[in-house]
Amino acid sequence: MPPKSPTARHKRGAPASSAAPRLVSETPFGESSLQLRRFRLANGLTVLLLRDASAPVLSYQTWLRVGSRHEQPGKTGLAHLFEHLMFNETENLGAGLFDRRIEAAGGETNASTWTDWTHYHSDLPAAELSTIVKLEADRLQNLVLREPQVRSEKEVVANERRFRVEDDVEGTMQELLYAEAFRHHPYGHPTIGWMADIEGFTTRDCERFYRRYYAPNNTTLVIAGDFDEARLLRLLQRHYGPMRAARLPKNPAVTEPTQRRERVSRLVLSTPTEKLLLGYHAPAFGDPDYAALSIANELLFGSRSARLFQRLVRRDQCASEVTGSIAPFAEPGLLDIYAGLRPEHHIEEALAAIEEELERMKDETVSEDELERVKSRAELGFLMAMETASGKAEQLGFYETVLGDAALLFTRLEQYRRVSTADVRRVCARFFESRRRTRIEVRPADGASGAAA
Amino acid sequence: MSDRFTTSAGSLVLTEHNRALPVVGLGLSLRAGALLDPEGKEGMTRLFARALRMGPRGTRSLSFEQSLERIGAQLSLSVSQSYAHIGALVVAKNFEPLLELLSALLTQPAFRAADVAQVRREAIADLIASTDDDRSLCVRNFRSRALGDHPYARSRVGTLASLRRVGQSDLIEHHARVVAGKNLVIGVWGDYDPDALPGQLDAAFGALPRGKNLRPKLKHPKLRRGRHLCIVDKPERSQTQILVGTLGTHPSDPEHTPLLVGNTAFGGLFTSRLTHEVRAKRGWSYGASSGLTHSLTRDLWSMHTYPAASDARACLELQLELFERWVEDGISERELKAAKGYLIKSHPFEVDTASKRLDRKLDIELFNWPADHHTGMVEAVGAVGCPDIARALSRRLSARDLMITVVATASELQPQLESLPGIESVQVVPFDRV
Repeated sequence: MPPKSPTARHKRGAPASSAAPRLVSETPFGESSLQLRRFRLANGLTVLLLRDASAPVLSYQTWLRVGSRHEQPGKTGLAHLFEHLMFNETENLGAGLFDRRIEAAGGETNASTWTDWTHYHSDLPAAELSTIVKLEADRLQNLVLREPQVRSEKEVVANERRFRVEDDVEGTMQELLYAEAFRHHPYGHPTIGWMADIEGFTTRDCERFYRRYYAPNNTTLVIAGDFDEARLLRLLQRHYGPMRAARLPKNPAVTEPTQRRERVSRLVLSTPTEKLLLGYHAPAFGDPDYAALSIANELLFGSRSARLFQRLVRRDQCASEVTGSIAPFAEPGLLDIYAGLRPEHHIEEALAAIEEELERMKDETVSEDELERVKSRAELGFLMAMETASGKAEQLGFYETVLGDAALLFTRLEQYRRVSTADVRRVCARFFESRRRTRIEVRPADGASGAAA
Repeated sequence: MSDRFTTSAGSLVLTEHNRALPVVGLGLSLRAGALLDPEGKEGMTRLFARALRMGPRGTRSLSFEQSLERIGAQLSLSVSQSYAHIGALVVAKNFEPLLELLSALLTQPAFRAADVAQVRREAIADLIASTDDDRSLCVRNFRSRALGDHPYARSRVGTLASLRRVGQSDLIEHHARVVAGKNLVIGVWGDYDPDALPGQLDAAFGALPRGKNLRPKLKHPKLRRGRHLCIVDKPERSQTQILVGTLGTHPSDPEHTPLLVGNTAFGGLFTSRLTHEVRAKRGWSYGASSGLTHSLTRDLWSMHTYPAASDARACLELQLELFERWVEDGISERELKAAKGYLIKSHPFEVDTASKRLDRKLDIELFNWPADHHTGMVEAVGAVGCPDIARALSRRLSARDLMITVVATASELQPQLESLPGIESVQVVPFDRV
């Protein structure tokens, strides 16, 4: 066992309690016979349980309400680096043993970080319930941070950044799009962090971050699958109950000033064809207009019958690919549109076609048939996201963390069903404003526009 | 509940009934993958799949797509070397309308000349765009060189020249040859009506010509002796993509399970040797793993890393050392226990959904693997010992015979890489000629 580290967390805040987890609410899991049960420990830890014994497996997920939005300039990428460090050493477990224990149990474990959250997930055979409770509770309160591991993990993250951004054309464009569209709001810096910030992190930065954000009252556990609820609650109380709540920092609200003019950036990169990325300011995931704009996005990009696929890929044949997506963020993000042009075709053609189709969405009401087709697709997508224990837990954790209530998952499909053709037209008029747009253009460097022989 | 029966056209049907979700999945697999592409017309089967999706006779492509959406269905077409696959998902209440649409698609494709020309242009545009993806460039170059003159070495996606040679008549002839009852395997999972299913499938696909099973009889690939390096030259790379490997095993090979367990200890897990040394200890690559590829014949074993250009030489040298030590010394009892524990205990995740259970059965049929390849896996793994792994490594892998592909900027890395131990030949290929 490693020696007790000076980097272990300071115990502070409200005193610990031995009271059993309190049932807060019970909600039917959509139209199935399953029940979502919400509990809270005295220290503020939220627990969401979904018992589904259809397979002898379980998914154990830990969602923390901290992401890159909570980082300061000069320290970007810390939430993501920290996600990597959580797989290292604790006061009770040597370096690398967390992964070893999970693998020995037949499990898989990983994590992800985005703007609003950090998410740890493990899928295990149902018989390994106590193993995962002990491991996850331990690293949430007893992580040890040492310089060699921090240094090595910074290298890994720098390599991840090269993979996702520096040597990736679309990654480079996405990073620049957000940096240009959000000049004040922290959504403007990349979740993976700027390279200089990654290289500059110290062990002390990491310790401070851990103490500040990794607290039971900033965490939701989601467990879905085959488990005995009473036994699980006893385990959770035993291993998480002694943790103390922390005084969480209040992050000052940052409102991005309204963008009044289009911002355009042009890059020359080693790529065979021209590329265009547009970003329109879009509503937060919890905004009532999010569902209608999602439907509009699907109408434009979501399938082979979608308007912009038909226009750019099939009719004009100027693009090999066109996609659109809306950031599912807690605060307003972007709806981004990407077009990969074909050889001999140019950004101007794609831009004119996109603008024309967006104007049509504002000027003309879409047909009921077109709307109903999109809703049918959305229903299938919603169902398929729930196929596995892991899929169910992920959806619940995401809704709980971003919207503050996992049960809103079950009303989302209904929100989609209620969207009318008038709603689609209204949100298109509201959000597709070219003067409030950010545009990234990429053209091939000389000699890069070759063709596979 | 699972079932197995044959349609009146001779198509094998495999099913997994499950009512967990009100969804049905349908898979139509033709034993006719890119291996059947004529010489000089590589990429034809992928064009066939694209053209098929343009819809049946009497229906324009857009109308066909809209019909699918109206019933809440998703469709995907994919082509591997060994088979072509049409996969569909639909809300359960619309399973019958889906069958009607897919029946028309498979039995009466339009293959209009204008559509064929259109999908050919799309395929060519995608091929050019794919040169942005360094990982994909690495895999394509590595497989074609490691498998030498074996049919599996041929390009699945084709080249600009080979795609231009494929015409409408090629696709019509291909359809007449491959769309036949005995060449079709149908998989159904989810919330369908088990009693009605045989009749529903017969109504949709029972009138196909019986034809024959076109699964090719292939010899195993030959091992190319020596260590050979190929640099896929791409400008301005701050990071490399590296694949190192050689021939692996076929699931019917008695050495397959020992090699699988040995690989799990070497590079199959996050805590395995390769990942630990490259990522955890040195931070050189975000990913570091090794694995066996499976197909109709003996296929490849390979290890994959993607270090910064500045670390590529050191990383590759370390990988070669680790590989040599593994092949020479095998694995320790502790590593064996960890690898077996993982493979055995993680087995429930191989079969926790109806779609996965069906996929396991389809593997057996489509790749002609031993019938107990999946069901007997836990027992087979349990029986493996360290001497079995040492024997499998010495019989199937060789530290002297390795193919290495590196996607990098050659002017920066070639001098460093060509002096790697044991390299017999070095080739530099421009990235847009892979």
